[in-house]
Amino acid sequence: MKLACVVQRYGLEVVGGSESHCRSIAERLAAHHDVTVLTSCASDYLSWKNTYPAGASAVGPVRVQRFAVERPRNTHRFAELNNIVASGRATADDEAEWFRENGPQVPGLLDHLRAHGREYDRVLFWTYRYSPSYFGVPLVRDRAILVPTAEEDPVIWLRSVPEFFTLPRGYVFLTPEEADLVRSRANAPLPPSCVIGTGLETAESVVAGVSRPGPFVLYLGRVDPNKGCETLLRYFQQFVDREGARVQLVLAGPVFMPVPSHPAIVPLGFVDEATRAALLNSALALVVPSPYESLCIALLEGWNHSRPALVNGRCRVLKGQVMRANGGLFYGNATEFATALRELLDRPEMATQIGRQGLEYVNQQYRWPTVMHTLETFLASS
Amino acid sequence: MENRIDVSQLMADIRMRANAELRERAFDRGNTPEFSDAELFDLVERVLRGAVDDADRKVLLLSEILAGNKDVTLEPSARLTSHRPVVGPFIVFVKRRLLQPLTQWLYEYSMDNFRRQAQINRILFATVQALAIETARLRLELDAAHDSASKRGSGAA
Repeated sequence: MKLACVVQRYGLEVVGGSESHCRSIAERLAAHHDVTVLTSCASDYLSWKNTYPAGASAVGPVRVQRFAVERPRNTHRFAELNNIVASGRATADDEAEWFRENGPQVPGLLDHLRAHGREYDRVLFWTYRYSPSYFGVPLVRDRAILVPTAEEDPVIWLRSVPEFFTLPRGYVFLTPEEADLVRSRANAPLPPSCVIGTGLETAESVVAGVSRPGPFVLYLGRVDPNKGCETLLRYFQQFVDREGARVQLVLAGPVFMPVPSHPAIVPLGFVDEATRAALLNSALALVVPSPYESLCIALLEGWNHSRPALVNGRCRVLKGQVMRANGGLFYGNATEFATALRELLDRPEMATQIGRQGLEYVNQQYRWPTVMHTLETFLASS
Repeated sequence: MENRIDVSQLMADIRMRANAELRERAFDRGNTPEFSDAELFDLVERVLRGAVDDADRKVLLLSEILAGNKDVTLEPSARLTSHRPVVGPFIVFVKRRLLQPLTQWLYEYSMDNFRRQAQINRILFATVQALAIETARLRLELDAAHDSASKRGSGAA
């Protein structure tokens, strides 16, 4: 098949969740299909400043066609639009402007789809919220496969979204909860779809652990209020203030918010892959406090290392993942957080067994051959 | 697999213990004697939790009733305008290019708090809706009970 993959940014240095997902899939599809990635010249998702040269290039086994961003994001105007959108008072024009300003604005990419879209058998779009997908899907709707990466955030409630969700020819979802969410928002029954999640390589068991005084729970990723870290830090401080320093919280990721100075809270900042793996091998549990997710790769990584999870139960995706895997506990408030954490600390054998169950789930669902088989079957039949 | 653990059972147990702890705190130290009744506490907790969990997913009746009423609408974005006919565009230019960047920190601080306030409002509206539904249900049950009692009464007469 001749396939195009449309994504807002693309490159080895680009580390966003949907961008990494697109690259992993595109590289594997390229083994059996003629694949072209259509993307912007930007590498930064906040400014959308052009950093890569426009035109054709290759990234690994994949042909990449880059288009220049017409203008960087107007951050002040975007903040205003965000507030209008969050307030629920957005008009159709406000919404269209939000999608344009969210960017990246790549008219060349849209012109390419208009002129050459029909030359591809299927055009896969990643992330409905970005401009190339939102304005690109209608141009090739008869062959558009959308990977929406939808979350329960304010954007999903925009009035234009239900109509947009009826446009693609097919859907590739990351979790059943994401499929339910999109189905509940679409104006009409959804076209054929599949749920693939993502693939993981087997974790190296030979990686040494890290030496820390006593047990610790691990948070992986950006330390950011939007990721639920403010609430996590508050719940955790309440726990150690009440129960003593029985456990530490290790934060492994770049810090974008004030972290309280507390002996039981250890912010490590960005860590390399080896340290990340070592931390995963040694942690008592992986904690995932995010309120919005379409798929949490860190959660799967934790299970890949046989670690039990402690997740925010208010996020349907996280709770669903944990329940299906039998691979962790969840909380909805500070008392439940404390009770669940106490359970993991007081019953280490139970914690180990839950971690094992998580690994078993990853082995069944999230190895690349399984993921690609599901996707290839879907693309061939849709 | 041997010793397989069922997380849903384990979570039911954890939630029960967490609720008992919460009830104890709310009853002993929270000055709410009604929570001495565990069953009543569970019912209250369930109604409130349901309202909070679904707040983002519901069309809220109170929001719809109040829609368009400017007196109760948060207006966080500052509209930069001037009523002066000639120098107006210059004043707007100065506001946008000079005053706005200088007050950016205050703007961002306020925005964050406006967002939180909007979310609290939404949760409170959802809670009021849940309580209104409970009250309406009780009203219907009470009316039905009255009807059947009066029918029985008139039948006996």
